[in-house]
Amino acid sequence: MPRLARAVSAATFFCAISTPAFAADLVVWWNKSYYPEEDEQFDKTVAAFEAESGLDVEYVYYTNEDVPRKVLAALTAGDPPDLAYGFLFDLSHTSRWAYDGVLADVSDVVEPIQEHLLPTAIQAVTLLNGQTNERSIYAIPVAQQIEHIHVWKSMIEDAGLSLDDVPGTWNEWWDWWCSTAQPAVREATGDRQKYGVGQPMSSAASDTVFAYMMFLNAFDTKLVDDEGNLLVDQPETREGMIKALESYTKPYLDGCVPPGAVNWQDGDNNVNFKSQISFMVPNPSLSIPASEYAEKDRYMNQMVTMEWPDKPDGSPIEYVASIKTAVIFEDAQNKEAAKEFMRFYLEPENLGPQLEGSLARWFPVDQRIIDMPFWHEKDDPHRVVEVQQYTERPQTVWPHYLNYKLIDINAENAYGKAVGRVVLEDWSAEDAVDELIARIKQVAGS
Amino acid sequence: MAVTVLSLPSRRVSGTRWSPEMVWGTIFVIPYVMVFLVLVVWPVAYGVWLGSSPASYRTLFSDPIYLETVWNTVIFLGVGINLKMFLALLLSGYFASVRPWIRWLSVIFILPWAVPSIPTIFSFRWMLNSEWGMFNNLLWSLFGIEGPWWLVKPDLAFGSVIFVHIWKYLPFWTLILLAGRMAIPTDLYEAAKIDGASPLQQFWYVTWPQLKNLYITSLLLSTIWSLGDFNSVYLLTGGGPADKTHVLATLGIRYAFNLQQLGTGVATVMTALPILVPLVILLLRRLGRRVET
Repeated sequence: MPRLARAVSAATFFCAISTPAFAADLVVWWNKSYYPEEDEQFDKTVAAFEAESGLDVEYVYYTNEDVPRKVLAALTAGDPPDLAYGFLFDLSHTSRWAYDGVLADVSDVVEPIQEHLLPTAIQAVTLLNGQTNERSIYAIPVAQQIEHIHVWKSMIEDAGLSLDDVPGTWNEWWDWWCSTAQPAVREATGDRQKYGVGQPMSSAASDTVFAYMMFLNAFDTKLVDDEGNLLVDQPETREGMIKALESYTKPYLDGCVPPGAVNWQDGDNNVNFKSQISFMVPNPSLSIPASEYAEKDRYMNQMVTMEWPDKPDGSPIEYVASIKTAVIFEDAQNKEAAKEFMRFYLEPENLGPQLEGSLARWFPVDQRIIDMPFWHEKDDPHRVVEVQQYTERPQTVWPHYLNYKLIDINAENAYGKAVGRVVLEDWSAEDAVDELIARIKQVAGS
Repeated sequence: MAVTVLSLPSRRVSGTRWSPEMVWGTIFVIPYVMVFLVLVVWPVAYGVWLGSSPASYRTLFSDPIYLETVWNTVIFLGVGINLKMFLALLLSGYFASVRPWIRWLSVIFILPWAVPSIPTIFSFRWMLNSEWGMFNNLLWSLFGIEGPWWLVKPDLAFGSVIFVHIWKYLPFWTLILLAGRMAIPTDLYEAAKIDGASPLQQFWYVTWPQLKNLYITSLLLSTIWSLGDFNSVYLLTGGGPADKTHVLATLGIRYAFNLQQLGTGVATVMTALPILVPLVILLLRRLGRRVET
């Protein structure tokens, strides 16, 4: 009896720890899209790749927030997937991973198509490796996003105003939504809870970081030079940061931003705009109109996408391009298969339909895809403006693409913290910026 | 007639052969031990190792948010726990009444604790919204007054966190203290009434001496558990506005997953050990004392 019991126990134990007999040729963790069409296109691409290559691809969809967390856990356990793609990677992780040496060099994937890629895309993925102390290509650019302005045109017109009345230059533009549009809309609707500026004010939302970067550009303020050296010690940089922060917080202090904006997570500005509490909102993608795509009247007629106003000096503002990246891990078991998949995925006939499936929420970084008819359809009012912003307006990249340490400032949303100091704790913009600069220097070095 | 006494052989011969009971006992214990090692010992040891780097603590202590978070945690425990337990003590007296409808009320009263945290705390988050939340809309509709910015003003936001914590866990501790009250012999109260004791005197001379040990033990236990209360803060305010309502539990998660600094995240919660370990020792001593008596 004891011998039989020992045998059963041993058999159970070994079954429990035995590894699967059939492992996939490629393991992929992919950010789940907002729209089913986008995921469906990815499913088709994977199926086509499997048919062509004969490789078995095991892929899993994770949400925005889960992808980086799963990757962190996998990296800590020493067992990362072969390939991962996350919407938030470039904002909070890619530069750091490259510096830490956990990413595989993917120059052989990107360089063959480099001539077709936008300069900002190349700049975003050419990152510093702290092990070699050299820059190389450690991420694969897939798409990009920039800040847009969305407006309920119907609410403006119902209040007896016209978008033609909106001033073109910076201070006057912001002031119009607050002092002209908001009182008119409140009177027309009889609702005191209507706000002219749906500005994200929270330290929990990446939207705040996006928007503040635009305000820095408005005041010609750069945190780093082209080599990634910090410029925050320079008086003109401090001055520009102060002006940007004052301009950013003024609408809230004037009562033109929903009070709860200081608590917004990503997506709350979308909800606020769609429920028509705010009738003008900055947002770093076309997710808001895209979510209304099925409601044709709302999409085509009631809401519009606008460009950002010109800088205070009257010159066009530069848009900050956020390049969405896929990464292959240095410790991955199937790096070559991952590279083969990404070469296949990046082909215009595969990536193009996927970006179209995103309803233009993501914009291409490959000129061959930008030249496709979908991006030049004139009957879509939002896409027309979007294409103009990307193709005819100047662009810059995020400072942390150039200095990886600033990614930690992004991740902890020190900019949102500075905003909170002014609007919640009555700090002056000078004091808040001085604290922000001190934190930047503490994290990223002087 | 000679009688030969035979001695029976011993069941254990030279320690090399296990009895069937010992074999079966070991077989049944092995899965538990393995699960305990894998799911308890290993994660704790690994976590301690992850949080052992001095660099993690330097990063943590240099973060301006950290000190504020420690202070928030102290307030959360000092005010929230004591208020909760005091209310539980009062409510347990109310629910100890023999009236049937009060017993039915206690069933409804337990619901906050029984219902999952996510839907309930999110509901509070929406109700407390400054622009379109139910509370402020009711204040405007009924009285024409603008409601407070519940989750916008940092003090109000943190007060809301403490309120939600109390709302969620008060029923459980009320039940615990109610059970303690039910164990007090009724003849003590009868004797006190005969001696002319008022209700307050009955509480002070009969109820409290009988309930004191349970109350203090519950207070310690609640403090230890609440040190790790993540839901009340994360689901209601996310640590905002502007990182003003973080407690150690949420700050640790922020470091680990938002900032991708796992070691610093673990170090954050490890800094609670100077509070946690003495509390645990105190609790174990109290429980040990009760066993002895």
